[in-house]
Amino acid sequence: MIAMTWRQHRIQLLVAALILAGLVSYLLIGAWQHASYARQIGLTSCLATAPHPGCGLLAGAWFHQFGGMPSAFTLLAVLPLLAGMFLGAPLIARESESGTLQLAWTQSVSRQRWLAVKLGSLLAVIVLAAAVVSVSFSAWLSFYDRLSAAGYTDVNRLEPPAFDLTGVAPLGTMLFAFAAGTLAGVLVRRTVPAIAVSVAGYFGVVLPLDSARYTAYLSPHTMSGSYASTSPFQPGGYTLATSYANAAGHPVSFTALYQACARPIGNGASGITVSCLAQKGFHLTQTFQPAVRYWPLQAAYAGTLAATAAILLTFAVWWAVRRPG
Amino acid sequence: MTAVLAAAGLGRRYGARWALRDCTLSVPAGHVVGLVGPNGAGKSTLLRLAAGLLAPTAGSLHVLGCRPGDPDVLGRVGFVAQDKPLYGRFTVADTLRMGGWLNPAWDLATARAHLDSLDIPLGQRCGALSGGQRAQVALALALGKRPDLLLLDEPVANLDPLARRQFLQAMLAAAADSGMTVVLSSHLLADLERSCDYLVLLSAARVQLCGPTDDLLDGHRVLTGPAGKADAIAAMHPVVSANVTGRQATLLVRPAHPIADPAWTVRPAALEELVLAYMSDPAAGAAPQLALAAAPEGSR
Repeated sequence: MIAMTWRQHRIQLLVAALILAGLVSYLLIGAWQHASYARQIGLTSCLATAPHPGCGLLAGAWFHQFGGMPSAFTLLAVLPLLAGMFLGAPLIARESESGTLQLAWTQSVSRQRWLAVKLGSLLAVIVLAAAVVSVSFSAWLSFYDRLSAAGYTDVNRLEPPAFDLTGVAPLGTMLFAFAAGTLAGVLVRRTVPAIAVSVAGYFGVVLPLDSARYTAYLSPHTMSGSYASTSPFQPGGYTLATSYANAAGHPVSFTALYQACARPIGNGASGITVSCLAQKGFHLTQTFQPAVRYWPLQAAYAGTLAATAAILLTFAVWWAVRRPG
Repeated sequence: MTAVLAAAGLGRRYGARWALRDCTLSVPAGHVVGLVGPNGAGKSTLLRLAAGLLAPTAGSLHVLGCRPGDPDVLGRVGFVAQDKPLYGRFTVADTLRMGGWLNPAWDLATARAHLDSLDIPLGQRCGALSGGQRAQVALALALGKRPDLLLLDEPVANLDPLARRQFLQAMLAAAADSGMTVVLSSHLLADLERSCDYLVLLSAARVQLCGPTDDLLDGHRVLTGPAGKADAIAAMHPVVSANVTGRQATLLVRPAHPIADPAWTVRPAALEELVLAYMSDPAAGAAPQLALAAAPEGSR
């Protein structure tokens, strides 16, 4: 049965392996370049000692070389969808459509075993793929983590797309996409409509969940402070909302702060200084998830998706085994 | 002899429509069974139920003494679906290998021998085979299971006459070799006449006839005689169909006892005649009822 699964899905699996290999090499080469450039310009040794102002200059040079997170990474958030479109949806639908299910299910292997082996081996492949994606992105991000810990950047793993591409989040989204695709295939029984349904189902669940995940599982911290005190900015934390208040405690917009403190800084431009804001008594309130909550939030997010995937797959198997044909 | 196929009150419904209803039949082992009936009579449904692909809505069905689709019986039943589905990207050799992956009791030699005798190239992808070759590969896959029961759903419907004959010959040879029971559905009576020794006639979702072909033919007679005396015959013998032309009537009857009246010419029925007569009157069967007096001139 494993041989059968491999023979049937080897093209899809080889294409998936190629895509992953391309992605992994890009990320690992990137990670190596980050580290070797940092060594070359002395940033690595500078960060190893107690941070001093000179490191900022080197970090600036490093950022000049590499920049922040490429915006293309946001597009990689659709990577899990491929597992649903090309592994999940066709799994039953293509065989229903071509009639080969009648062939497969009248051999000596029971439907239950056929489904168990196919789903089991494809799920194993997905776990492996998710691990590879997660580890490669972590490697790519590791130097950003060090700069973030030293306070030189606010690129952090709690924020999308880093949150979606590291930890167990890729596993959760891939499992969910695969399960949604499989169920769509079982119910719709035709490949192309099943792919469409699985894409709609994926976004229908994941987009709302993505906007709820920073508030629903753990209530975010709120911190208020005057500009006179230490900056309330939390390195590594993910800021959800920022609001401003004047000395009297009334909420004001950022424009009000700007108008109150704008000073010409030459070339016809103007800027605002923290000392001015402190002097005029402005307050800042930030709602944020602290960086230490990365793993609890990862576990909750991936857990929700994996549990949903388990329910969908159980239903898909039950339906396929008892379905009217 | 135990029944390879035993149905009692078997029914299958799709939504509000019954595809098969009140099907009660028992097919003994060792026959080549023709399952006949017009399109939509429930032939495919019965075969798919027997293959375990469908679950019955009503009644019960036993295949080789087990519930169809049971792991015990799956390996003992070969099934070739109507469109002969095969994995298009698999080569013929892959397909035979698949037989081994999916069947513990796989007999590669039997399957190979079947294809070798037909010169079907093993390296060819199944998607590129001709209709006849495709049917033969599907048959080889079913034969490699060494089944006790082989179910063929319209196996020759889409084949040209030569491929049709080749397929039926191969099937009959395999059945003779192994002693397996074959149930094949068809609406091509000529094919059945050549190959089947047992007949099940399904019409309008019910079983109308079921028995060895010879017994069925023995049990019916075609009478030709005066139309005026038809009612007298109908009063004594169940009439399956009647054709009245002018003053002459042709009746297909199931004689309760030998008919001695010299006014009637009596001859045995041909299979095609018999099947057509039952098919054209879905109500005929176990309790045929016919009101000849009400039959309009020129028809039954």
